[in-house]
Amino acid sequence: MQKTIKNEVMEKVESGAIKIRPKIYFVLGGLFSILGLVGSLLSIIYISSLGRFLLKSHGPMGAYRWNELVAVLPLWFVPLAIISVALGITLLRRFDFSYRKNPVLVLLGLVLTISIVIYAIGVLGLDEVMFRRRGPRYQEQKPGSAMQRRRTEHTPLFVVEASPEIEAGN
Amino acid sequence: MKLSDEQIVGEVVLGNKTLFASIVDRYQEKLLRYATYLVHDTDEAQDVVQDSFISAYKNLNGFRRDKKFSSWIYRIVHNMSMNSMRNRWRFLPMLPDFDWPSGQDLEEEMMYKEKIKMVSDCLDNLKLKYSEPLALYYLEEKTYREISDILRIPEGTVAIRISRAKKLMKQICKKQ
Repeated sequence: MQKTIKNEVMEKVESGAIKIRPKIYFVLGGLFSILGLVGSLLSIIYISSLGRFLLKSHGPMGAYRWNELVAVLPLWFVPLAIISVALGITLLRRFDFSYRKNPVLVLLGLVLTISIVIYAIGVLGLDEVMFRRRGPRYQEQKPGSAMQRRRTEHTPLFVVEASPEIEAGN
Repeated sequence: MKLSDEQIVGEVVLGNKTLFASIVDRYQEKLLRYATYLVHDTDEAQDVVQDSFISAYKNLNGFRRDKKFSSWIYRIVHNMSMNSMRNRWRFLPMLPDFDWPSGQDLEEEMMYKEKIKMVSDCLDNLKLKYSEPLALYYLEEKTYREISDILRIPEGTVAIRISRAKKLMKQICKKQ
């Protein structure tokens, strides 16, 4: 029985019926797996951000802002995200065959983690702190801003004040 | 000088195909025993082991030489067995006349077989989650580290599962 295993395997090996896959195959596989994972991560962030925007109250002109947002959406991103997720899962299965991974669980874990993080950021109001939008006046006055630098450059090093005698015309 | 598994793999990858036979020789018996333990069917186990060797050969470039080859090949057999069982949709009981080759004389072999049967019966009543690390540790003589690599679980979990499995085994064997 055991002889058969050896014979059958070696017959296939020696006849060339089975060949060792080249190293590049695994390098590319790993690369595409990472790209797929990054693509799926970005797509999840993208879609959840959109969802969050949709669920939030937008105040006045909310519908207009939503329409503007939809109009500038890069629509190519959606098929790219779907393809990258599918590619990532397929490659994870094919190239990492000796590791037991449940792609559905990996993806679910990813979605769940990102959802929790986004929800927590929204609830704690961290987005307001981290990504606060300020008006043009703030940008002008912000230390190190272009406007601020220009002002510093034009400020004279010393100011000659007119003495009271000169002012009086004496 | 006897070459290590990893050295043989290096030679095979460089083009010395026939050396793969020594890998098959070294592992086929152990892997067949392990696969039979998992799938509970000798014919199916034979297919699993054969497919595992073929898969391993094709993917030799994907093997990381800084890791142990034995853990890698056991992992492949584990995965192939799981796939095979999933395809079958049901678990078959261990065959009563299953033969564990030992190479000892007749009387010793009878006792050995009886002992193995008793252990196998007890193991069969354990969940795979517990019985697999136990079988790898005692039957395949793998270290915690190797079991951790094969089953992709932390070493601490391996230790806990083996400890629980031993306690459960005691209870089950006492009942029988």
